[in-house]
Amino acid sequence: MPLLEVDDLEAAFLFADRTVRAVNGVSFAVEAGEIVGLIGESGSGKSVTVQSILRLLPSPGRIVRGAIRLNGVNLLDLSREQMRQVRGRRIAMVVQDALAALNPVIPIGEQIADVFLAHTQVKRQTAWEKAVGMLRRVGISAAEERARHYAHEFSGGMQQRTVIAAALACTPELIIADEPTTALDVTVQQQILALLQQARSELGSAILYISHDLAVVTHLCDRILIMYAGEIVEQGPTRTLFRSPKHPYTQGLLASIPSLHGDVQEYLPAIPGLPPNAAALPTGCRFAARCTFVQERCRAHHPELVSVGSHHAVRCILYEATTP
Amino acid sequence: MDFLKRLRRYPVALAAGLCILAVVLTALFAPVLAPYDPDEMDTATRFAPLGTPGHWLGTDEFGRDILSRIIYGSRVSLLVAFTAVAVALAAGGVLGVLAGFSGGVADVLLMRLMDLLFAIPALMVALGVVGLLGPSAFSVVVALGVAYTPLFARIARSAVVGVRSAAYIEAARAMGASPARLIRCEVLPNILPILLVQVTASLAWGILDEASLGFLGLGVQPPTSSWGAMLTTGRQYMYQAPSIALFAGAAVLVVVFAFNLFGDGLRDLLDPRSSR
Repeated sequence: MPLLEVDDLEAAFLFADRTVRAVNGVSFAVEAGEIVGLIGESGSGKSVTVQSILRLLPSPGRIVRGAIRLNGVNLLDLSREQMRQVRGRRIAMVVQDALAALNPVIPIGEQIADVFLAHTQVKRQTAWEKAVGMLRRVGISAAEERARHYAHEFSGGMQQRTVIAAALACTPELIIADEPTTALDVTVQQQILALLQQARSELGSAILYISHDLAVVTHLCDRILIMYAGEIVEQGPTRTLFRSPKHPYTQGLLASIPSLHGDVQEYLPAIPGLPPNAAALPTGCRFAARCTFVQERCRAHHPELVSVGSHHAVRCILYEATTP
Repeated sequence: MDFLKRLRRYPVALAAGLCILAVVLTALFAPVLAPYDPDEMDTATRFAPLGTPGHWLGTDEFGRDILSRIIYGSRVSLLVAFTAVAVALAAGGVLGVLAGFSGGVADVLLMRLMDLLFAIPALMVALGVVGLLGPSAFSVVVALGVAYTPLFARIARSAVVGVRSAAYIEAARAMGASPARLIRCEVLPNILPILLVQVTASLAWGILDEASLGFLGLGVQPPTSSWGAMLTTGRQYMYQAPSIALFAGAAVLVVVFAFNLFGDGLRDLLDPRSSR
């Protein structure tokens, strides 16, 4: 049984005048201790998928269909209180903007201690000592003194380390990292990625890593899911996906990563056009309007996700014919 | 300790704070400090002028020592102001936080009710309540408590709305904090400084309004001394004994001013982002 299993998830925002279908029939699994990358551009539905997993969709968002199973238990069936117990203890979240995620008027150490206090029966003093231990663990020097500082006194990298320390506090089975390195400079980015890998190897936590940047996740993730317009268009092991990307969108993404080897390119190829409006999705393939290989059939027929190798699947008409 | 260390960098607030402390101590140790029983009459020394040996601030129409009456008057002023503001802080704070945090219908209903109360001047609300309950220190506390509640409710609500959708509240929710814990651990520390500043400002108003109600004869009843009541009698004898009204008025002025200055300093001081 996989640790996390998202099954045919459909989430939509039901506004008075229109319905925005943000996530459409997304299915994937995360095994225990696995690092999975969920890649997509802004508006592809990756954040809504994450909010659905934690059942924290902002209003008027609704989970219309599907199941989200953690160790076989459907999270959508849990009571509010049971769900609250899952958040932070079994599934923890690391967000992009660490400064905004930290309370400006509460010392750092106390905020981490609060996570312990929310989930375990410990005394405040014990929670504080554990919090200092967590800060030390994520590589903050003079942790005891630093724990008394406020978020704005920390550098960007230290703020993100603090958020990770809070996430790791209760040894969660799954860490959801929503673009945790986007706001950081490249050297700090690498440190944060190393820290996440360390969390996996030491605590055995699985990680669902959300990003719009394929380049960042290559060394981190075991497996990659590519999302486009609310659905998964390609998924597979990182190596396979990089060696033989099947979907024209994945190929476009890979082509737009600058290379350090070979000739210096004059310009980076970009994928033309914009993703479709989620309030008025096309009937056929959602990438058709931007695809270089588009055929007449693409505009009418919506392709299914088909297997094209071991653990490698793609949602494109070009590969549908090969399977019965 | 950290707080006191930082207070040193705000000399005006520090001076105001010391002044408040002095007044509070005066009220606490009134029996020790006052040279006479404030209610002791002495017809032989009515309207003793300023500087009379033994009665340095003079005596009033019954020959009572003005200094002693002002010292004892501080008890009424402070007690009424502190309790009234505490009532308003508790009631307004709870209503405001609930309205702001829950939003929706509860928010609209609660806040329109507060607006209704807010539309009537505080002193008018207080007059109405005292009219219902009869004049006494207790009614003044209830009256001012009711009158100040909408102010605290509004400030608490707007402060809560300001932080409700903050990313750190969402983050805490994603880390499994319950609504009660969110309010206690995340929302309250953020809005407390704002409320605390309002408390000091309201204490100034409380002392002023208590004096006003006393002046109108609706506060504590004679012979208990209060600054407001002293102003009333002082007005009648303005020409024979100006010191009655003068020193009662000065006491109100100094305390109100001190609370306001202290509140200003506190506002800067309590913001951890202020670098001074």
